[in-house]
Amino acid sequence: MSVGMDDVERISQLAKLRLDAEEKKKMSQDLTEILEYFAQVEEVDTSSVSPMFHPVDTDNVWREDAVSDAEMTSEVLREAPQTSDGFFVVPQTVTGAKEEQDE
Amino acid sequence: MTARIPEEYQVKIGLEIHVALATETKMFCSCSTAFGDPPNTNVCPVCLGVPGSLPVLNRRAVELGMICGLALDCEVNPQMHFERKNYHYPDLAKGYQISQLVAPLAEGGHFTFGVSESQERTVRIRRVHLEEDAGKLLHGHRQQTLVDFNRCGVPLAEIVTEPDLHSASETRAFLEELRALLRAVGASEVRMEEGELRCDTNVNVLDQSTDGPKDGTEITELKNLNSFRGVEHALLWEIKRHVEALQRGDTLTHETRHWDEDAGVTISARAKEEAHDYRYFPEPDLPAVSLDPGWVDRLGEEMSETPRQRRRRLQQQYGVDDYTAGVLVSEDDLGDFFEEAVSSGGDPGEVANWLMSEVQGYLNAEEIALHELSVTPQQLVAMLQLVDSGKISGKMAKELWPRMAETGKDPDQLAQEMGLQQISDEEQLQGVIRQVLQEHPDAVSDYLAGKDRVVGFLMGQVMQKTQGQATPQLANEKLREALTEAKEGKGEED
Ligand SMILES: [Zn+2]
Repeated sequence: MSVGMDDVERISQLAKLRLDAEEKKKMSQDLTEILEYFAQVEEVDTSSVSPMFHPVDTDNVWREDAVSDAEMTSEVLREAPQTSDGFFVVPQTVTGAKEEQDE
Repeated sequence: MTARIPEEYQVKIGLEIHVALATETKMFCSCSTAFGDPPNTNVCPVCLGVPGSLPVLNRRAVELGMICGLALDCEVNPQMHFERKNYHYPDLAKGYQISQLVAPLAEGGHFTFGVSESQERTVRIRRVHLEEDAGKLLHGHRQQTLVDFNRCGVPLAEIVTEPDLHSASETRAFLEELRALLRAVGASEVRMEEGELRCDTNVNVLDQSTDGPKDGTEITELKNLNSFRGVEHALLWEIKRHVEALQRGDTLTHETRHWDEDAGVTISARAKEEAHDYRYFPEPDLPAVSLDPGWVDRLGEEMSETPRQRRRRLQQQYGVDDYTAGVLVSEDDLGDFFEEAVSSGGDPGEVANWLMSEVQGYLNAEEIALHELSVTPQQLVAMLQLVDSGKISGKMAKELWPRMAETGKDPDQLAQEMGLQQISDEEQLQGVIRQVLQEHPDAVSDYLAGKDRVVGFLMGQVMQKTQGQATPQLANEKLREALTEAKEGKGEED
């Protein structure tokens, strides 16, 4: 199993990472090695094992529906590169671009 | 703008509806879901995606989601779990939305709704799953976008239908009745103006004649419609586009489009450089959730009557017609008001009539909701009884009602204050009539000369003298008696 340069390019785009040619090559090698390592798992015969959705078998973990105010507005806004009247400010998003990604 | 659709064409519409569940707090943290608070005041490390923070599931959100599923006749899965749906956009700080893909909350239901007074249709429900809402983006000036994360993490139920709807108006009827259902069972307040119901629609058109393309046009996805009117108009426009394409032998391309409300057209979203790839994977921070069948059963038993069930019951129990029953269930508190009024002695027909004419007229004129009215169902019944007993006329009741609505005072007290009282006392009326006849001897002699028409004039005088408070029927009767007496008296003189 190998992760080619096309795959790396696609994944880096999805992850919004800008990689130079050197980094892409390294990523391709590393990811290929990682996947090969994990591929060993496929050698195990799992025909008699039922699918597992979560590694931790716990009882339901709930929260009751009661409000508690974290009161951290000023604290988080202070961390932002730019704010305006309590809003975070980000570069303008293009109309229509959101819905391509979000549904 | 209605597309003329050839008979052999079939329109297919499927919906993905996002509904904000009626919880106090967000899906995975204890931040408030209140609408309209100052920006970024209902936020915490969890909904801001601060590394190291961990989500904890809101039990009430799961319960309300189950109620949604049960109201739509779905099977609640004995076990569900969450997935991460990865995408990068400024409305979602942590870079992924927690949603459900493989094992949703509920699946395989259906919903029957009325498309007209006599016609019902059933739409299959594919699934109901839970997910968190994203933040809100405001487009400011100077090429800036402002982000408010108050909405980020608000629990949503996503309801996915099969493509069983066949027209724009039918889709609107479906959504309106779905809204009434979700409100009635308490899953959501569905405040449209707060964006508590948003809808993606998938539409295409098939040509069922033999020479048409086998699968019809490619599906168009219309995203993020937040009003019933918007859904209907966008679909009308889009259906027309598909029909015209088929007629010229085109099958279009699969694409996402947006409804431009102002221009009244749908616009293609920018061509995608690459297809969606959300790289879903199981959410490692949340364990799977077991939905105990006992819990599910109990919710099913406790669930309020659906509007459809209630509509049928109102007809059977109170003998109101289907249209009236439909109006009474369209807002749940209207039906409650009606039933309370009837149970405190009101006549079902009279109460329903008043609710649908005078009461709704008043609410519309004042732009208020029924629950903001200070009049109780018992007071409405008391007023109707004043009419029935002849103490006030129907006309007076219409005068009395808006004052009752304003003041919340009891109708008999208010009628006295306003001087609204029918004179039903025979002797009092006879006195007034005697006076009128004395004041108008010419009219009396005209009557005696056989001119019956003057009776109308004399009646008018009686009503004027009593300031409109005479019971018209009784006054008329007494007037005729008096005139007959006068005639006989004259006969005796002759
Ligand atoms: Zn939070």
